[in-house]
This record gives sequence, C-alpha cells and structure tokens, in this order.
Amino acid sequence: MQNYPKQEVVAMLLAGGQGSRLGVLTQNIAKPAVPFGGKYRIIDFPLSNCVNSGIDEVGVLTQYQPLVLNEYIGTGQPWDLDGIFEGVHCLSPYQQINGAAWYSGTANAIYQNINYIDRYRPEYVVILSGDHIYKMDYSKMIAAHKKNNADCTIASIDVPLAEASRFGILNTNPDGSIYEFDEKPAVPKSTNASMGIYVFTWSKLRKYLIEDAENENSSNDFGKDVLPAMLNAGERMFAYRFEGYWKDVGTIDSLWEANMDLLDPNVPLDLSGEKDKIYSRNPVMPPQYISQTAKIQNALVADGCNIYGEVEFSVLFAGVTVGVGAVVKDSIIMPGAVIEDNAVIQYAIIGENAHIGSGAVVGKRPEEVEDKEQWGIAVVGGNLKVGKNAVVVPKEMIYNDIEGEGE
Amino acid sequence: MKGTNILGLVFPNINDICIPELTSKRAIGSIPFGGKYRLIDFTLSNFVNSGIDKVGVVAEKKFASLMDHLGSGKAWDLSKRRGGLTILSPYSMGADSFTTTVECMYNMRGFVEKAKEEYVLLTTSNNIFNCDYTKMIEQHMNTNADITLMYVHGKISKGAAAPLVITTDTDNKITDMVINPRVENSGEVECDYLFSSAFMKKELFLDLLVDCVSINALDFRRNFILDNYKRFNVYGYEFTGYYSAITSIDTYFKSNMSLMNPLVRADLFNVDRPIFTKVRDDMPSKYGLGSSVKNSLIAQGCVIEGEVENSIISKGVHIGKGAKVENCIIMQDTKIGENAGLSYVICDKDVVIKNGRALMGYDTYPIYIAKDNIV
Repeated sequence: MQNYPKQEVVAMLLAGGQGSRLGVLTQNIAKPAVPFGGKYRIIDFPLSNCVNSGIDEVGVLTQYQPLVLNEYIGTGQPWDLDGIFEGVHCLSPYQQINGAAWYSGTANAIYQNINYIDRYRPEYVVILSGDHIYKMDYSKMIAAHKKNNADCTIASIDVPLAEASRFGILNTNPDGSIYEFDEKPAVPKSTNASMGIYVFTWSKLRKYLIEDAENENSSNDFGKDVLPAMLNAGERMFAYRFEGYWKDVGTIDSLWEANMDLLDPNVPLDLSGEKDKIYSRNPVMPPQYISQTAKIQNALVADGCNIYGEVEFSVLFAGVTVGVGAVVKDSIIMPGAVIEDNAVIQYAIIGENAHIGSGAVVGKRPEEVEDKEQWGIAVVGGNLKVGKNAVVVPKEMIYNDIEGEGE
Repeated sequence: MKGTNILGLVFPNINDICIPELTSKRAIGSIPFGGKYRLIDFTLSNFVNSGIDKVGVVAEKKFASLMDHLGSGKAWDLSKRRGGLTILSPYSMGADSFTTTVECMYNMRGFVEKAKEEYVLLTTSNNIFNCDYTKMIEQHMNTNADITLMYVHGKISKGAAAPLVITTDTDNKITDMVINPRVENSGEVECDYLFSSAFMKKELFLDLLVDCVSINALDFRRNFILDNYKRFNVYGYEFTGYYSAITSIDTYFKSNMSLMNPLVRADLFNVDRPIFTKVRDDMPSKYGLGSSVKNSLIAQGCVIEGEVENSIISKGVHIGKGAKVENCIIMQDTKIGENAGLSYVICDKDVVIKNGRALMGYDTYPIYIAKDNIV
C-alpha cells in the first residue's frame, strides 16, 4: 500500500453545482469553469489561494458538466498542484459496493470522499466554494482556528445592513464564538455574513458527516444541516473576519459587476505583480494587436485579441476580434468571440466563440431605457451566431442562433 | 502524429556576433521578440509542430538566460519520458568552451550517436518563420538526397555573417554555392541563399564531423557545407512563407515591426501551428482612462496609461500617464515614467525611464538601452 505523506490541511473545493442562475453561460460547463477577468476561470481563484496559503492537497468535487472543468484542471500543473504525492484531484461521484449515488448535497459530497481525505491523515479540512472571486490567505484563518481551539471556523465578511438579509448571518459573542446562525433573516441582528468558507477539525467533521448521512431527514447540506447540528451539540464554532475584496459571482449581474470591478482602481482586488498571484492556463496566442483605427480605454485585454473598433469599460478574453467601427462598452467578451464591423455591444456578456454579425446591436445603456424594470445585462451564449443587423434587447438571454438580415 | 525518426539540433549561439548589443549577456536564441517570445521559440515550435519531439539545444556560451527560458521544455511539450528537450552544455562533455560550431558539434557527438533517431535536422535559432518541416523531409526522401539545405529567395539580410548563396537546377539540386559573394549593391540583389536548416542522415552527419575535425577544418559554413556540397547529393528546399533572419539590430527592429502587418501575423501565428513560449502568469493588459494605443502589439501584464503608437510592448511593461512611446520596442517589465517621450528606442528588460525623460533614435538607427539601466 502506498503511504501518503501526512498533510496537516486538505482543502475540498465544491465545484459540482449547476449554477442555474447563470443560465446559458453554464448550459454546458460547471460554474467554476466560467471564464472570468479576461484570462481566468472562476476556479483559478480558490485554487491559487490554496497554493498561496501553502495547501498542497486539494480535492475538487465535480458533478455537473465536468468535462471542461476536468480538462482545465488537468494535472494541476499551472497551479503547481502536480506533485508526486500531493496535488489536485478531481473527485466525481462513483459507484460503490452497495450502489451508486449522486452527491445529494454539499455535506454528502464530502461524506462520500471520507476515504480520500483519510489517506492524508489531516488535522484540518478547509471547505471552499467554486464560485467566489477573492484573494485570501487561508493559513491565517487556520491559525485563528488553532488559537481558538475551535472545531469549526467560518469566514465572515461585513456586508451593508440593507443587503444583510440576502446572506447567512453569523451572530457572535464578543470573543468571536458563534451562538446563532440566521439564514437570510428578514431583520438581521448583525452584518456579519458567512462567506461559505469553513475550516473544520477533521476528526469532528468526520463524526458529524457520518451522523448526517445516517439521518434520513437531512438534506445533507453544510449550511442547513451540519453546521446547525454542530452548534446545537455545543461544539466550539468561531467566526473569522475577512477584510478585503470578496464577491459571489452566482448571478449574471454579480458576474458582470465582479468583472467590471477589475477596471476600478478603487476596488481592492489587484491581480498584477508577483504577490499572491492568481495562476491559470495561458492561451498559446500572440500578443494583442491594437490597430490604427482602434480606440481603447479603461479595458482589460488578453493575448490574441485583434482590436480594430472602439473598446471602453470592458473585459476582453483571449482571441477576441473587434471589427472596424464596432463598439464594445461596459461588456464582457469571452474567449474567441468575434464582433464584426459596426456591431454595437453595450452592457452585455458575449459567450465563448460566439459570433456577432456586422451591424448587430446587443444590449443598451440603462439611460436609454425608460422602464428600468426592462433593463439588464444582455447575454449571448457560447458558440452562437447573432446575424447581421440583428438586435438583442437588454436583459435578454440568447440560447439559440439569431438569423440576420438577408441570411 | 508525433514521434518522427528525426533528432532536432538547435544551435542557439550561431550568429551571436551579429547583434552584439542584445547578445552581451545572452545567446542570440534567447533574444526577446514580438512582445512575448524569444527567438528560439520559432525553431522549437516548428520542430514540435512537425512532429519532431526529441531535441538537443547545443549551448556554447552565455546560456543562463536560455536555460531559464527553456526550463524542462514543458512549454513546447518537450518535457517527456521518451525524447523531449536536452540542453547540451559544453562542460557536460568534459571539455571547456569552444570557439567553433564544428568543435561544439563534435563535442556532443555522443548524444547524437546514442539517439535512436536515424536523421538529424540542424538549425540556427535567429530566424523568424513558421515552417512545416514534413514537406522538406518529404522532398529529401523523394529526391534521394544525402543532404537537404533550406533556402529562401530574397535580398540577403543586412549584417548576415557569411551567407551561402546557391544555384539550383530544376530539381532543386544545388549546382553551385558561394560564400559571401562580392556583388555590386549586394543588399539590393535578390538571390537564393541558405536559411536556417540542414537535414541529413545521422551517420553522414557524424562522418562529416569527424572528417572536418581530423583535418582541423573547423568552420561549419566553409568546411562542413561548402567543401562537401559537390561530394554528395545536396539539394535545396525552398521555404516560401514569411521569414526574417535576425542578423543585425536593424533587421531585429524591422522584423519586430513587420508584426503589425496582419498578413505576417496570420502566416507566423498560424493557428494550426502555434508558436509556443514560456508563459508567465501575467494578468491581462490594462488600458487606463486617457490612454491611446494605435497600431501596436501589446503583451499581457502591461499597464498602459499613456500614448503608444507603432510599438511592441512586452509583458509587464508600465507606461505612465502622459508618456508618449512611438516606434519603439519595449522589453519586459520596463517602466516608462510619466510624460516621458520615446521614439525609435529599443529598451531591453527591466529598464526604468524616469518621468519626463526624452529619447529619440532614428528609423535606420534605433537607440538601444541595455538591461537594468535607469535613464
């Protein structure tokens, strides 16, 4: 039998969710594989955070549409997670002696992989989500967990009171210990929101996972079942206050905002430089070409782009073409998309390898729309074709090709 | 299909002498090019895209930068259990450094002898081109040639050291060969001259090498090629795609600038035969409010707040507010201060141009600023 070297910490990354609120963007890929920030995919953030925090063993729990995600993670080499004994491992549901079962909830996904975690004999297990954009040093959180002699530590962030009712709120004693969970409270008692990042002492978590699996009434979810069970049993649970940029990108609006945040010098998320670098797979493409006819301002642009038109307040991924006279404003253009001459893209997300015909209009500026209820980010799915002079109205989500004029 | 019967050998120091500025601390093969590449990337990518995945890089001297760039060869898919990339340094064979390419080849003949491949493909590394070698090899087999030499048709690149000009018959057999011929207006006359690569059986390569060394004929071009072309069946293979031989600071500058031409980019960065290079995890480039960029090639990790026109901006370069950069090649991680003005300047890596500095070269004589300098 192979003797796996002991790891003090193993990270488990929940990447199996469908992310149905992202609609067409997650039709064929899991949410963590959604492109973000001009060259990354969402999962680059938690994976890079792990590496930058000194965590060498990461299990990625996959279930929904795992092909692109599996391929992207590959051997883990871009994140230095391809060690001889440790690294990144994709863990999909599997058949067992007494039958096969999908991951029925976040806790169940970890429960079904107890044998995987046990191989490394860890003291602590970090549970992460695959849909958050942030830079965090988990080692500091683990240090706080140890100092408090805690059984469970939950990362929290201060949110505006008006928004607190959208989050799971942690009510704490002055020493930071948690006395109550308040899931999306109508009248929040505090603004201390859970970030969905947990550190557990493995021996404790292991016990509660087994108990949870035996409970037929449980939905096998961390937030709904395991954490309340631990609190009720009087385990030591602490909040760990995180200061910095953090954003859940589970919706079209938040995904769009988080991308735009990268253009805002006042947002405290810096992806430049060597410190706490976010690693990713890099496109094999030449540098971006900005032509004589281009006008480009306040934009983030990746390798392989060819820009002949106007680009403003936008994020352009690798290999995007913007034709002569085309206008791209306040938008996200995913890898390989082509915006033909004179097309106008505003407040929109254009999916991977989509093709926008010449003169087509996608989205509108909010000030151009009278009924604000009708306004929103327009989304064109990957590999779709929007024909010549076709129109995609604001807030629309396109799942099928749109024929153009005279086509 | 990968795994051919060919051993690729690259000589990254041949022609170092052509560009003393850029090769004072590096081999010509590791000169930065086109914003994110090193010259050797083109040769290595051509190998890999033609299925040649056993490659020896024969380093003669000044190869620290080259070794850093190549690493394990992973970026070119050349980090392999079988085959892959081997860096052959002069010291690894028990000898000290060399003065000639022939000695250098002779010194690492053990590596060639041991290789299971039947053929060798020898290349220099100072050429920019995207080539499918399978066509050259096909011609070699069809003509029953002993040696096939690649050539191009055009004006000889300015500063080229000892170009070999050839005449071929209709079957591409080389019937005449002269070295560095004396011609009126030689830079203006178009001719066929040897370019980049030579292909032959491994046994023949080793025999000729021993022959050369045994009579102390140590010049590769004069002795290995020129003295032998009549003794054997030597054919030329014409490469007809876009090419550029980097043989002087002037050709280096012009060749970089030729990348602004979309046809050149389409030929060179053929999506079916990509040019691989070592990557750095730079973020996408950021264009600030008030920036203006025209007709330029920009790599990732740059922050552009000023004006850029007709320039190559490499990874991690910062161009401050109000700065004006025209007709320049700015290599990686250089910082151009606010309100600085640069025209026809080649800035090597990690240069700092302080706020308000103005530097101006000329079309035919760009100013070169060496690595790590502060202006």
